Amino acid sequence: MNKRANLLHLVLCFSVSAFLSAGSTSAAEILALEPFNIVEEDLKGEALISGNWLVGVHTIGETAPVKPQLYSYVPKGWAGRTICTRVTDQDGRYNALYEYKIPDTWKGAPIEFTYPTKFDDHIKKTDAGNSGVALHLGDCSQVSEEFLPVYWNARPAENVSGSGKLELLLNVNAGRADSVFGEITIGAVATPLQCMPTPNKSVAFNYQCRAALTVSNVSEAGIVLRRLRLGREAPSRQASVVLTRYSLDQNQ
Amino acid sequence: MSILNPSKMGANSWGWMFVTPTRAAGWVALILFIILMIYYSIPRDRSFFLDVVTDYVQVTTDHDTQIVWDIAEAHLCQPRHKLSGDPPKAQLKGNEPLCDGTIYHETLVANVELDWPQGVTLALRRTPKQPLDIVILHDEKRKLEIGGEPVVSESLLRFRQDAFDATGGFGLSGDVVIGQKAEHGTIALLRSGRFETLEKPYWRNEVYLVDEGTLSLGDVVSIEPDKGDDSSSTYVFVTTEPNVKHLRVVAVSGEGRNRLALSRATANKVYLEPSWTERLARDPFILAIGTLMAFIPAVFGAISAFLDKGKEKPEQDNETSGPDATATNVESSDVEDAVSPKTPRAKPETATVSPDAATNT
Repeated sequence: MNKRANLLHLVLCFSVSAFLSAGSTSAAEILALEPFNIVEEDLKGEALISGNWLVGVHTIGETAPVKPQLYSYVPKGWAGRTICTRVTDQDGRYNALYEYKIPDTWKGAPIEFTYPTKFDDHIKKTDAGNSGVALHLGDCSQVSEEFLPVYWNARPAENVSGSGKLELLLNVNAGRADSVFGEITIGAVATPLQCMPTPNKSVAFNYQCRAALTVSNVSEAGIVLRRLRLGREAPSRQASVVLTRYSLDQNQ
Repeated sequence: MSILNPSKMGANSWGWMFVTPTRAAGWVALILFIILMIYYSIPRDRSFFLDVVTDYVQVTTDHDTQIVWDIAEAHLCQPRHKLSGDPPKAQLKGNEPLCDGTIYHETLVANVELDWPQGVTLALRRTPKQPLDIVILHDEKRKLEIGGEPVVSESLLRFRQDAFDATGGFGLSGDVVIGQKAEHGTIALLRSGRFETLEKPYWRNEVYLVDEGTLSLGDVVSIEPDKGDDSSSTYVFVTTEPNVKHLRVVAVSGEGRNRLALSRATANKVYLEPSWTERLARDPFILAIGTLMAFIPAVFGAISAFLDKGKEKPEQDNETSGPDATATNVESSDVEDAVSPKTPRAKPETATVSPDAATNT
């Protein structure tokens, strides 16, 4: 009886240590970058009205086991640059601006952006569908049009390294638009964006645009968003986004 | 005379609190107050009536929508980016186009009857340039037709003023939102209006007005189901009036567990719910009881005074000749009672009953 218990204990310890070592190996490959400046983090009783049109640039993955979690692939060209993460929930009550500094010798790889928060319970409930995370080049005092897609409270799906396409989700504040459409262009290939009004009464964004993209390596894509308003076309909006497919288990 | 003395009661006995008439009345009043408070605090089925001048109303149709629109003439403008293939040129039968042909494919819809299916969102909007635009939003997977023409989501149904006037107005039912938040670039706003809240009390059949108020520029109002309850259908009628630049909308919600939601500029959404005191103060039953309560003592007092006067008349001579009456020279009937020969004035010593004396008896 004792021998059996000891054996069980041994197997259990081995399993746990194997699991932990696998996790630590995986985590060791990814740089965990802390924000050097938390410009603002607030959960208000009343909704904020944001002037930004691109509220969230997300890639769709599988739900993260631990939250909050924020991943993005940062290209080599962004080495030494400051980047800003804007996080807004769909009610417009939560608003956060975090600044991160990319190391000067950066070679291009996924980064886990650590996200210390005062509102842990609230943040854990958010995902790409009900919040907007826009990670853009430059500090938070400006709104640039160069974005990186993020996995927010999600991580790349295990089969991402297979033949699956990269699913991009844009959360857009289209104002009083009657119709929203657009396209995303990688090289010479333009893929239409499928834009739909948000099903619930969201304050921060009112349209969600999706595209399934074939991405072979790190590539810059151009986004053009068009809106019909009061029977005529409103000025279009442009942004660029650096896309790549990656796995957290291996660096690219 | 006091029957029980609290100081002499045992610690376990609280009976004295209820026995004194004043205290008993106090307890009855307190219990009555608590019962009333509970009765008027319990949520009830309610309905709303809204009469609003607005430039925007949005309705998501429900299963109750069985209203047929008879349209003599309208322009259906479908966004070209949503149409597959190369759509034919505008078919307007000699009419002037109302939409931008580069972004919309326009078709004239004439002499059609529209019966909106469930689950279609219709945003009715009036702007300085367009008397009535209806933005049609629906699930792309479902098929929707107007006059035999398939309609994609985000299409516009556009009316000239005379064509809109000819319809008399449009009725719809479903989930209703009136107005858009006052933000930069918003043209179609709620301008003014008023609301009424009607409730049906428990165990009674009548409905009465429990709350009312006005709506201001830029307000957004909607009728929403209470937590955990299904939405009840709201009927809206949208029309215009001569020389008025805005839409006139009346909305009546069905009876149910609904709440009137109000969003105002950047403020959080609030629910306009009557308090228990408002319910109580406006209840016709309570008002009637109150009137009776005020009226009955007055009647009894008058009758009593009349009867007392009749009895006292023969003895008036004696009273007026009595030493006390002449001394005090008062005319009050109460005082007259006190000094009348029927109720002789007792000496101070015998009139006062000390607590000790009471307990001794």
